[in-house]
Amino acid sequence: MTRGKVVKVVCHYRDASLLEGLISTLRKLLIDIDWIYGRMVGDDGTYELYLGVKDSSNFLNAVLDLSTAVNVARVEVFNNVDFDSRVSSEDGVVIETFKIYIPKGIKTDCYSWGEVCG
Amino acid sequence: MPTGAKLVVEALKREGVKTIFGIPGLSNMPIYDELVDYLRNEEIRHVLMRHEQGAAHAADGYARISGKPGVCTATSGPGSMNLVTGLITAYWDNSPVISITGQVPKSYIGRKSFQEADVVGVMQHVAKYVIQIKEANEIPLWIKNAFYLATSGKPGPVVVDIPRDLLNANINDVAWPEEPVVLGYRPFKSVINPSDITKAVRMLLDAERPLILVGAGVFWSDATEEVIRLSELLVCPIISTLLGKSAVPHDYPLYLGVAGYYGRAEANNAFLEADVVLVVGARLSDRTLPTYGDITKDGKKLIIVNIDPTDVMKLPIKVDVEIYGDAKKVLKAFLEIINSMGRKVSRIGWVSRVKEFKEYYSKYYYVDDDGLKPWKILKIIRDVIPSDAIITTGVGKHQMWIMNFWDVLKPRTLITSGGMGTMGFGFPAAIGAKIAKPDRAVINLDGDGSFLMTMNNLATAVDYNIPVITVVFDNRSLGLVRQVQELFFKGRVVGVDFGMSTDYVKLAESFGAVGYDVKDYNDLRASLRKSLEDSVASVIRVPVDRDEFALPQLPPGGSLKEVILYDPRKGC
Repeated sequence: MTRGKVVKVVCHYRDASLLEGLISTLRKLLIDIDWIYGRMVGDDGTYELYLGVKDSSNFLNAVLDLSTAVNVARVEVFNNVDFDSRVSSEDGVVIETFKIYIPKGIKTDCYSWGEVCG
Repeated sequence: MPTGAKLVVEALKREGVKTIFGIPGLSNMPIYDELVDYLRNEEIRHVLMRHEQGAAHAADGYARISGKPGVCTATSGPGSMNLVTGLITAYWDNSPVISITGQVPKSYIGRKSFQEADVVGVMQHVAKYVIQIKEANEIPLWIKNAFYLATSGKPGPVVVDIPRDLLNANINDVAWPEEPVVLGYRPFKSVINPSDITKAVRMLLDAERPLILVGAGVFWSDATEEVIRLSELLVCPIISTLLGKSAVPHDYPLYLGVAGYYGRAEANNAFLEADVVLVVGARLSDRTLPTYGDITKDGKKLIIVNIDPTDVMKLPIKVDVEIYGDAKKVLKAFLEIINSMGRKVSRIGWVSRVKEFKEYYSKYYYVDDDGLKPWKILKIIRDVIPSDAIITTGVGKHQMWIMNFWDVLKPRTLITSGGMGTMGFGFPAAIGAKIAKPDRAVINLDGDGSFLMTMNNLATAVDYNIPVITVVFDNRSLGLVRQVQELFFKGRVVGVDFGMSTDYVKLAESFGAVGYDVKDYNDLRASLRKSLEDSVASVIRVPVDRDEFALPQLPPGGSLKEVILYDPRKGC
């Protein structure tokens, strides 16, 4: 179990340039990404993307840039979130698990096209 | 049954496009084929540029002067890649440019095919948005979306990349969208809260030394009238950023000039001494404020009006009042509140103080010794050309002279590459500006290094009879770099000096333009008048001493108070 900062990006997928764009937004501000997890959550191509990132003095600027990127509906920031990645083998079958534990009631900062909500 | 290419041209026409700047090649050729009928019917004009960078700058110049999106097109591979410099220039200065690029057929993509380039991969870093079309019937929607994205929120360039097979495909059912649809995008919300405006107005009325800093947002929202009225009511001096310079008529007595790295000392001093600063449509970049210490000291209060709240959120300083919205709308709200308060202010002391600054620093600026002096060259040009003439610039020392010594008399008559500082911007941007406003004189004030980067488009100006006048400040060097080497690299001048090989008169004539070689101020006056009368593409070469510095200047990263006023090699 590791604890860290998680950025959740709610965005609309058209092609993989969406992912390139999001990741390069962090890269341009010299922010390292520990892990990425994403999934489609809506039939209209809405995706939730979770990024485990290292904190940095550029962090807020990166979040603001993400939140004003075309195709990004909003960005949420979770501080001190636990995540767990395990690979186990049972009867020769490899099972990978990846869990992000976001406690109920945790303070979240949410950014969307210049608007900030908690 | 229309083709994808037909949909492109028809969609552009429906968006009101009158001119396309571009160069055809294998992958955008179907668009050109469909364009033929529109050209014959004079519904759309095509301007064949001599390099795609020039096409992007021309579209940018058109957009900045007309206020409407400029359109350019290029073929796949090198054609599209040549757009990069022009597009990032537009992106950094928030200019709405639409670029339509042809792409290799879908089945060729990823095979290192002839003239294949990853347009999406490259352009997403130099434009507000890039879309690659997957199906031909998406074309009408995405052309509409491109115009919406380019012009809404914070404007910027948008690239639409279309594989050639889709341009050639026949479409059965064409749906013309009424409205754009871009998921995950919305223009910034305008938040004009009366209590915030009232608070800001009170701060300005109560201030002893208020100041207005005008940025490009005022230019784009045409808010000149509101800024001047506000300044009059508040008796409040105005300074500007480089891009905001074009939004303030310089004959307005309380305008002090451009502030910042190469700004006027009086503007910088006014900023330092002000107790309340209203920043309108500027993001306080490192070019305007190399160090934020100049704000935080002395408890200066800051009011910021900006269309993009994230510009303000990124600032590492305290902002006392933030108001988000279009500059014109916000300033109108300021004026209403001030008028409703009915309070009059008098700031004789502050106004006298800034006037003293102006008079004091003049002695450093207007030195008239040997050779042709840049400030005097600009004064003569100003006297000769009409007040509404449009000026474009390149980038370099001449741009800094224009920044400090060019008098803008009408709003939106000066365009320059501010954020990116792109050499070669001026001439093709002038072509775009002239097409946007054919009844106005357009003069590109350029440096020799900058002009030589895109002067091949002289052929375009001559072929299409686009009578743009270029004045080349010829110091046979990359002068601004040379100046930095002289001032901050211990005079170790390297890699910046040109030989005498370029003959600008012959160069102009070789393209069919008219060339003038100016020897003195009278020559300049006469050649400029003749160029205006003849209304043909002209190049006027004006020799400037290589050692002539562009001052004032700050040291890199320096405070506004560290202004360098005179050439240290010559003494004060």
